[in-house]
Amino acid sequence: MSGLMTWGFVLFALLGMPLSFAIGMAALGGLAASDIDFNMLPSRMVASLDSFPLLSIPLFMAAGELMIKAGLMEQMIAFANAFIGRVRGGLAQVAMLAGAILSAVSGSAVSDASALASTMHPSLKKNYDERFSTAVIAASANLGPIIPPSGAMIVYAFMAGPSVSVGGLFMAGTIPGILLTAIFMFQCWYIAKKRNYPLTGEPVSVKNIVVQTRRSFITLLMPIVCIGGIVGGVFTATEGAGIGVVFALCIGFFVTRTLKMKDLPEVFVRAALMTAVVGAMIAFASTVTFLMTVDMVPQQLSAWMKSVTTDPLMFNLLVAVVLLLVGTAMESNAAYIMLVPLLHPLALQYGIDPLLFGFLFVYNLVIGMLTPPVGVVLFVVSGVTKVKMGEITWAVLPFIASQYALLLACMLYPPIVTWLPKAMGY
Amino acid sequence: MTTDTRTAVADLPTSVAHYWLRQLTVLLDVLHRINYWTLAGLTALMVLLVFAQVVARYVFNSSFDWADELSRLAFVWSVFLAIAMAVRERLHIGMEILTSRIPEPWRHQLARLMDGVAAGLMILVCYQSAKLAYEQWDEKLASMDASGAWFVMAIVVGAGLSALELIRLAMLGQPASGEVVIE
Repeated sequence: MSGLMTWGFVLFALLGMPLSFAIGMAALGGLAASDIDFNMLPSRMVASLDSFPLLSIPLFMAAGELMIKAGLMEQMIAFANAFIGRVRGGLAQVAMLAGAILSAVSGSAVSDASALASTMHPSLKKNYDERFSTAVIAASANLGPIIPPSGAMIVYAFMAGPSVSVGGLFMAGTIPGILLTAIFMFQCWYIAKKRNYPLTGEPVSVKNIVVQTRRSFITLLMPIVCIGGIVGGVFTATEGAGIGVVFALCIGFFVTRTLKMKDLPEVFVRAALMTAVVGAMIAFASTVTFLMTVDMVPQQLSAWMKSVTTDPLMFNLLVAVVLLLVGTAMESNAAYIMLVPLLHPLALQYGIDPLLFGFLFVYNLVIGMLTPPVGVVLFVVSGVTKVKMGEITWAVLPFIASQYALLLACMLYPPIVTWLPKAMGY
Repeated sequence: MTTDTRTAVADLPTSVAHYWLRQLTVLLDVLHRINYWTLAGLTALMVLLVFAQVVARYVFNSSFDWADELSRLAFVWSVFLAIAMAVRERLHIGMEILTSRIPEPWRHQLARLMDGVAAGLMILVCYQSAKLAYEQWDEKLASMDASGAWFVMAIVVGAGLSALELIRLAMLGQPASGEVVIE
């Protein structure tokens, strides 16, 4: 039965049916083959989505979009500029830093990518060549799901069950996210120096730093309140996201005053649409996961895996290879929804820290968003800037390489990931 | 991404065979507008309820358990209604590794076939959830005086609307817009 479901899914997916419906076809086939009443499908669909933590997905999306509409980007670019000053590749470094701050407000690489591409690309391409400019935007947007809040981490924690908390996973991503931002900024400086790109920006002045910090203070307060509250246990991730939306509305209406009442329906509908794409997969996959459990697939997979290796590091590397392959063919949310219920319990059996494995899993698929042929971030950046996918792909390679280097470092030295959540009591 | 994708009815073929397609298009355009405003309202309701609960807990030191259930109900409805809208706007993500190599007009016809099969899936889901809703109608929600079937009703409506959108796409044979959204 599990074989039938797997092949059914692969067949329909390859024939071009949307992944969520292909999962639905597999579920239907599985139910028919095991002679279970079809009414299990709707009852499991409802049960899987009737969950308060999942509400955080549309709410974080709405909060991020509202902050962008409230003029966050312009503020953050000025803020980052004040700190970076006049150095080689300065503007590229500003893009990286602005992307990192944007990541602390928004949970999705896709909305980050379109916001960064539309605000940063015009000035970037004036100073650097087109390939480098777009690669910087793509890499910067890719910080989104690593630095909290992160839609990907919420989906992971939901699929993994009680051993992973959203707050813990958020903390796990913080230090690697900051490290990666620093690495990216260093790379920008190095590439700019080697290629002799022009100097940009004004020299650093204390006065400018004070002015820009005061201007951006309220905006910067938002991630501190939302993420801080979630991590500190003051409120749940969903409540933090709800507060984020209200915060963004207040900033947009009363502080920057660039948000208009008529913007709201579109932002809200967009948040619902992006959630539904994930929600459709979660709903249909719930039946498939159930049938696979009945079929003892997790046990069989575990026995097979243990015959291959008993070493946790080898297991992590194998998973990374599997996710690299999956990531080249499939959209990442589908991978979370289908693979986390199988692989997460297995990682626990290997004695791997659940937050470490969760972070590595998310990080693997996040890197996949920058790799063709299904690099979603590349699609978006290419769509906004009109630079061909192939050209961005080449220029983005150095950034992918450093992402993999950091991934390997996290595997070999887990405290990079686990120290902060442990120190915070997760 | 455009949120208003009404098809100009005048642009459609005028043969008798397309009579039903025209009728369906007119109907779905109306339903789309209703769906759009319902979705905006449901998300706003979620924000309101979630925020009110935090305020109630920390400021007034009280909580109301119906808010939790109502916000989950709003979420389930918003997901299933938005699934239908995402069908209309071709936002559900698929794989193009194989299909992009198939020459026209075969690729086009295959896409129509897949829309048709997906429509069949949605009709079945709609029918099964309607049966389930009928069985659950006398059960009550945990915190509100309403039928417990309101959760499943979201699938009845969402899957039904998705089925209609898919049927229209299969009849129309509109190529996928190829827009990719969501991380």
